[in-house]
Amino acid sequence: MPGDVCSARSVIANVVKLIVFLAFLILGMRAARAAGPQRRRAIQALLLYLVALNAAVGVTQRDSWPFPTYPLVPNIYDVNAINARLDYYGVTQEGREVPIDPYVWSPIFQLGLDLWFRLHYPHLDATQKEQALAFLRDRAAEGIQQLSRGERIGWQRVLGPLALPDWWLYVRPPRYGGTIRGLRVYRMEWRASERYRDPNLVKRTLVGESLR
Amino acid sequence: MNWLIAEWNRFWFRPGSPLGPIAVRFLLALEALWIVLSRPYLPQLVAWPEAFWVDIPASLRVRFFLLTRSVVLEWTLWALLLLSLLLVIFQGHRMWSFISGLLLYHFAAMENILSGAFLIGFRGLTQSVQGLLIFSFAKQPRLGDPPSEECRWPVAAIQLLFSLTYFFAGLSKLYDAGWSWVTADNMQATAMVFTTWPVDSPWAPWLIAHRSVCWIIGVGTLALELLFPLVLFSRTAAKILVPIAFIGHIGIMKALGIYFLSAPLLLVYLDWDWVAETAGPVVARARATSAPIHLQ
Repeated sequence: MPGDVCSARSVIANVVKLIVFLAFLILGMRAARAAGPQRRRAIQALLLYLVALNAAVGVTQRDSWPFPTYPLVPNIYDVNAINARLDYYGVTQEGREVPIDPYVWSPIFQLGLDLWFRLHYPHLDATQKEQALAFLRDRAAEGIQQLSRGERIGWQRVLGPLALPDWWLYVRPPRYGGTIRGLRVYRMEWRASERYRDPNLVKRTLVGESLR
Repeated sequence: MNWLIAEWNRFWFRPGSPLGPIAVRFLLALEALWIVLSRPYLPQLVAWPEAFWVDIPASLRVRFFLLTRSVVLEWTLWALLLLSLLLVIFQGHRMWSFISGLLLYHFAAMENILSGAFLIGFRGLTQSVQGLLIFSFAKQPRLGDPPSEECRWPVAAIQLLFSLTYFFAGLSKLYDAGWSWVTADNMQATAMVFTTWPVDSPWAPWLIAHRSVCWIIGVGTLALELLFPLVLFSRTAAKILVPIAFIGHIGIMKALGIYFLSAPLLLVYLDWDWVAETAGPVVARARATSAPIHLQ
């Protein structure tokens, strides 16, 4: 999980990563322009840079995208540890809560939105929080309306069912045919060992809400 | 030392068929186009209210060339990206490869920029960014060209970088969890945790119930990941490991709800020299038998 993204350390990290990428471009363009005996040397320099850079990324485990570390499920999981995620609910005219289709947040994926809430939302003042929640509420309301009319939304807008999903295969809730007048964002906490047996064993904490 | 230098040069600069770079560049551009058209509202993200952007560090935006939040500019760049990818697919000119690579670098991070640039590597565009830029630095081959080192080194570089997807995934498991990552306990726990997240993981309950399968998957996954770079040096290794990796992606998708967007790019490990040798005479014969008819 990223740490304090505003820290001086992260500024340095971003600058270094940009320099790493620019160095790749410069070495590549040098190779592209070189001719004759110089060309082989310029290509060798580019390849050596790619090998050395990726060795450094692998050894230090410091992601420098587009030269990443690919940490694919690298952890030891503890089924008794606390898991936390955000859940988004629309509030109907009758005051009932309905789960929101994750595709309404396009062009950002729900996992990205979760991270934004965890990293940035707490740093906002009350007005900014209200502005953000109202925007998400209207976006959710519009997406739900489009879905109820049978329209394609989000990532499926152009390619339909041929559109590639996010790398995280979200469960899409049943379509809700009505309109929503509000949004509630909850932090959900649970232990996998308990929720695996009973899906309702979840602790819900309201993070924010926006009602019309 | 001389041996090492000779092997290094043999690996990168032995003559390769022009079919390799042409086919790999086509695959990278097509995959990128598929992803870009599956994310049609990316440029619109900059129009989200100020509240979403106020806490995003300037250094992160500068890193991905997001200097201003202009919707018009982003849509223009997005249109240019589509055009350049189409031109790479149909023309293959290296200038378009360069433009595509740079614009993909910019747009690939767009979704993640609000979330601290976390895990951009899983967005599926990493190989296209690396690969299209590498092709823009290499000479542009044509199908009839003789085998040359200019056709070999860019393909070898792209294959090497893609193999790190697997090798680094294995390495990160050893760094984070150690050898105990492979245990059935951990596989069962992983599957159980994923079933409680809001992802589609229909095979997880079956996996949790079969401890011996968990052991096989744990040991097999780590072995596959750490051994994957062998595909660069051995045709036999490629014939075994590449199909297993593809099957593994289907298993991960069904058991953990994680979809590896770059899976189609495993095709870059086809033995393009063999394909050229095999397909060349067939194509020549087909051309000979379908000679143009001249009207009198």
